[in-house]
Parts: sequence; structure tokens; C-alpha cells
Amino acid sequence: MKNKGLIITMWITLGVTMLSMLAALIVFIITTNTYSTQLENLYKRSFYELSSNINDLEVDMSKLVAVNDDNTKREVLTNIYNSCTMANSNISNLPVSNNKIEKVNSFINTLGGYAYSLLTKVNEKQEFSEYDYATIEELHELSLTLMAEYNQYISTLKFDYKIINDVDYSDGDNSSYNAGFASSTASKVPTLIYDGPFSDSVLNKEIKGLGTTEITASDAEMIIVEKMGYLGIGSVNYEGESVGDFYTYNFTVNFGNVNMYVQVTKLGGVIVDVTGYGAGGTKNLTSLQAIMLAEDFATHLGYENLNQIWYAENENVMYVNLAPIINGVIYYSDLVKVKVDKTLGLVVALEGKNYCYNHTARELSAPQITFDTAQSNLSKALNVTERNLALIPNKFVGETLTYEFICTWKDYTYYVYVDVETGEEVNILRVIKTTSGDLII
Amino acid sequence: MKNLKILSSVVISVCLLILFGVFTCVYNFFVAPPEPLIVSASAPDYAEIQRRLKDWGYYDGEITGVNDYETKQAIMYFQRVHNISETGEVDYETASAIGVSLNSQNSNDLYLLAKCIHAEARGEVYVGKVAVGAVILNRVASPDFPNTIYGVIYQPWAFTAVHDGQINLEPNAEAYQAAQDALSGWDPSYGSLYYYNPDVATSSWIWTRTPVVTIGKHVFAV
Repeated sequence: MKNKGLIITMWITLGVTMLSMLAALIVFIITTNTYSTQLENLYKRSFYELSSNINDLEVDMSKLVAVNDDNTKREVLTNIYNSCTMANSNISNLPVSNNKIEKVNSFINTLGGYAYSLLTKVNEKQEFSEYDYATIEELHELSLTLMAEYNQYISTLKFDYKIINDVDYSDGDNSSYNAGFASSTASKVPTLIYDGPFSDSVLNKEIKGLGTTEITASDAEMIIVEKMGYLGIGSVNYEGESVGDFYTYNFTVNFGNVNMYVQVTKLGGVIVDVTGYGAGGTKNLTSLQAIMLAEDFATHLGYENLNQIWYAENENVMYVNLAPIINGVIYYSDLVKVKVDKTLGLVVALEGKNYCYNHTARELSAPQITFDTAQSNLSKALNVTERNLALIPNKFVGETLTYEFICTWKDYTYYVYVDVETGEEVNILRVIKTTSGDLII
Repeated sequence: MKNLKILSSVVISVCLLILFGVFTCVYNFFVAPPEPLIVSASAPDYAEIQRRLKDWGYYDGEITGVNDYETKQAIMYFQRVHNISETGEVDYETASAIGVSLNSQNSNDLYLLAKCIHAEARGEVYVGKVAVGAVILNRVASPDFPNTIYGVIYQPWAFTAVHDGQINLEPNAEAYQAAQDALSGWDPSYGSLYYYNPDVATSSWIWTRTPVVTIGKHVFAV
């Protein structure tokens, strides 16, 4: 009797288990199906939206050749820029790894950057040059090719075809989905001369601040010992070379409980980058002490005439921005960033890339307008609290001598920059107060 | 008879185990509340949080700025009193009730960057973490990649840790610091757009890139 009960219990348990597993399997299949449908929809939406963006680009590029009125030019160029932005976003959603699509990305981004630079020209009432028209025509030809290739591809996305069935999620680089378009378009993108975020002048920036003398790795080690020795070096270990923006020799330098990664340029032997991290310090430097430490560190490393122009604090860390001030002009283009750990009482990082790129003796032309004239053209709502001469980097390439006005309105602080030649406001920044310091945007 | 008894017991035990497994899976998948989406961003200002919680009597420790056990307990106590889900984390609801701000575009960038650095390079030396953050920012600035931090990080197959979900781990203080350094302009990778671990990289394509520098286990390349 007892055994019979046990057997009945076994069968009931077995039945319930089988039913539960069956129910779970059905739910799992339905759920997976729902997710894959949603993913398929997302992919298809991105493909179709990209199609629309590419078609719009072709139409607007062709209009650009024909249009002559500034307002219409502005409208067409804004449309091109917006289409490029949206196309870039849609491309990033496609189930295609970047190495298969980077040339399309490059074409779209460069086109957007070029449209932006033309828009700036229109706003500054400049005419398009012959070079501009030739470039527009060339880019239009490429957009036609891209559109044709893409439209041919999109015609395969029909009926019950599912993209997700062709995507290999296990290996993105080698065998992920091959959209099979734009194989020939972007490889022909011409080198473009313009001031924009992806222009060649920005991507291949000239290094002006390093001189011409080359040093060896052992010279670099001696430079580290000479310039950072005052901090009490424990050891210096050579870590190899970098061949990126700058050719550098790299070392790990030990300072007791902190290791710093130090990079010295082959040209000129400048300590261009220091990156370190430490914890467990017991000191408690004041902000002023931290700033003095930052200035002292930069001076020891050979950066000249630097003064603190900005700082931000984040818990125990302080970021200090230093810039040369020469003959009353603040050289913002040569900014050096220093990071101080206030509990360790140490500078733990320095970044001098801008200084190495730009620092050279400049001949600044005399202002064409006075401080007072420039100030009288500012918004009447602003109350000017300080004014300086400042050399600021342009948005993409080059630099402009400006009057810097530090102003307040209600509880807000603004930095307004006025071109000393034209009197135009070239940049306005607002200071955002945060719990971790001030942020300028 | 004895065998039948043993068999029945075994079958019942196995079935019960399977049932437990099935119900656990179903509960976790469909019933359990999802992990709270903390879009918080920068490490919350724990010094300020401690100060406020101390003023209101929820916390009686030192103001250290560190999210330690005592602080977590105080946050949970505060959440309990204010009918907020007791996670011990400073999510939006908690931050809002305490009166500290977490939400800004800048801090969202920092948070996502810190998450990616933590997921991709948590075993690396500090400078290697900063370099990973710099690669992400170099991609944002490059015409060959998406133009936002989000676009770059979530681009399909761009980062292993995003592909396999490790991106959802909560970043530690070192990852935040590395992200902050990268956003402040530090780039020990010197303009690199890629990195890989030569010991485990399986992609033949990645070997075609030009190496710039080796930091820790990663080769950084353009």
C-alpha cells in the first residue's frame, strides 16, 4: 500500500515536471521569437532609414551644384549635415562590424564635416571657390555610386528574408553579416581641404613645439631622472616605444607607493605625458597647495611661464589647467593639464600634448579694436568682472587672438571671447557649478 | 520492491530538482524585478550624501567620501524610511530624495565610459585603463566610427565586453578615475583606434593594424 502511494507520487511528480518543462519550453520559444522579431525590426528599420538618408544626400548634393541663393544654400547644407548625422547613427546600429563599414562611415562623416564648413562659409558671406564646386561635384558622383550600390542591396531585403539568420554572432571581425554594399564608394573619397572635425588638417596636425633634435631611449631615461628626481624616484623601467601622434619612449617610474607611466618624446626629449594612480594617502592638501604643486611640477618638467587658469576638484583629486601667460596674453592653445592627488600630496598625471603641438614663438598682430570698444558690444545684460588678452584655438584648425571677458548674469558666469581684429564674438562659454567642481561648456 | 522504492525516490528527487530549476528560471526571467537601471554616471558625491544623511540622523560615521559598508547601511535605512526600494545604491529616486544631483549629459558620458573601461580592462594597470578610455574617445573623433560615446561603445562587435554583457557590471572607483582622466584629455595610447590582447586575439584582421604601443596585456594600434 505504502509502495503504491510512492509510485503514484512518482508518476504525479514526473507528470508535473514534464508539463512544467513543456510550458517553460513554449514560453521560452515564444519569448525568443519575440526578441528576435524585435531585433530583426531594429535592423531593418536602420537599413531602411539609412536608405532614406543616402537618397536624400544624393538629391541634396545635386541641388548644391545648382543653388545660388544663400538662404537656400543654408537650407540644403543643413539638410546634408543632418542626413549625415542620421546616417552615421543608423550605420552604428547595423549588424556589421566596423572593419567592413569604416569606409562608408568615413565618407558620410567627411561629407558632413565638409557641408558644415561650407555652411560656415555661407554664414560668413563668402562665395564658394572653384575648388569647392569641383569637390561638391566629385562628392556627388560618389554619393550616386553609394546610392546605387545601397539600393541594389536593399532590394534583397524582401518577403520573409531575415537578416538575423545570416548574422554570425560568434565572430564579429571575420564572419559577421556582410551587407554587401558600398564596397567601392568610400575608398575614392578625395583628400579635402577644409576646416572641419574630420578634415585632413585636423587628422594630420602639424607638431610645432618639439624642435628637431632626436634623443635615444637612454637619453630619455636620464631626462626623467633629471627632471623628476626631486620627487624621490625608486626605479625606472623601460616599457618600449609609441609611434602614435608623437614618437615617444615609455617608462614606468616608481615613487614609493605610486607608479607612473611616463612618456618622453623622441623629438626634443619632452616629458609629454605622465599617468599615475595611487590610493591610501593621508595628507590633506588645500586647493592652493595643490595648484602650487601642479605649477612646480610642470616647471620642473621644463614647461615655461605656466600659470593656473582653471581647476576642478573631484573628491580627493584636483585637475589643474595651466597655460603660458606671455606679455599679458594667455596662450590657451598651449594648455597643460595636471592632476594632483590631495591625499597623497603628489602630482599623479600631466598631459602636455597641446603644448607640444603648438608652443612656439608667435608674432601676434596688434588688435584693430580696443578693449572698451569690444566690451561696449557685449550683451548689456552682462556684468564684466575681468578682462584679458587670450590666444584661443579655433574650433578645428588655427588660433585667434581675442579679448576674454569674464562676466556674470544673475548667478551665472560666462567667458566671452571677442576677435581683436573683427570685433566678432567667437566663443561664449558658461560655467556650470557641480558638486565636483566647475565645468565650462 | 526495495529497488522500486529507491527508483521512485530518485525520480521524485530529480523531478523536484528540475521543477525547482524551472521555477527559478521562470521567476528570474518573468517575475523578478529587473536590475534597477542606474543611469547615474559619475560616482555619486558620497561626501555630500554622508553629510546630509548625518545631518538627518541616518548616518553617524565619519565624512570620508567613500561608499563603505556603514554608508551603504545608512542609505538603506534612508531608503526604508522613504519607501524606496532598499538597494543601498544611490539611484535617481534616492538621489532625488537626498537632494543630490546625478543627472547630466556629461556625467552620463563618464558613467558609460567608466563601465566600458571596467568591463574591458579591469585586470589591467591603471594607465591601461586610461588608454582604453582614450581609444573610445579617439574613435568618437575619427571619421571611421560613430560620432558619440554611446554609438562607439554599443557598435556591434566593437567591444567584447559589450557583446557578452559584462558592460553591465558596476564600475569601481579606479575605472571612474580612468574615465575622468580620458575625458580630461589624457591619451597614453597616442591616438590609437584599436587594442587587442595578442595572447587571445582570434581575429586575423586585427593583426593588420599598425601597433602604436603595448600597455599591460593590450597592444594599442591604429
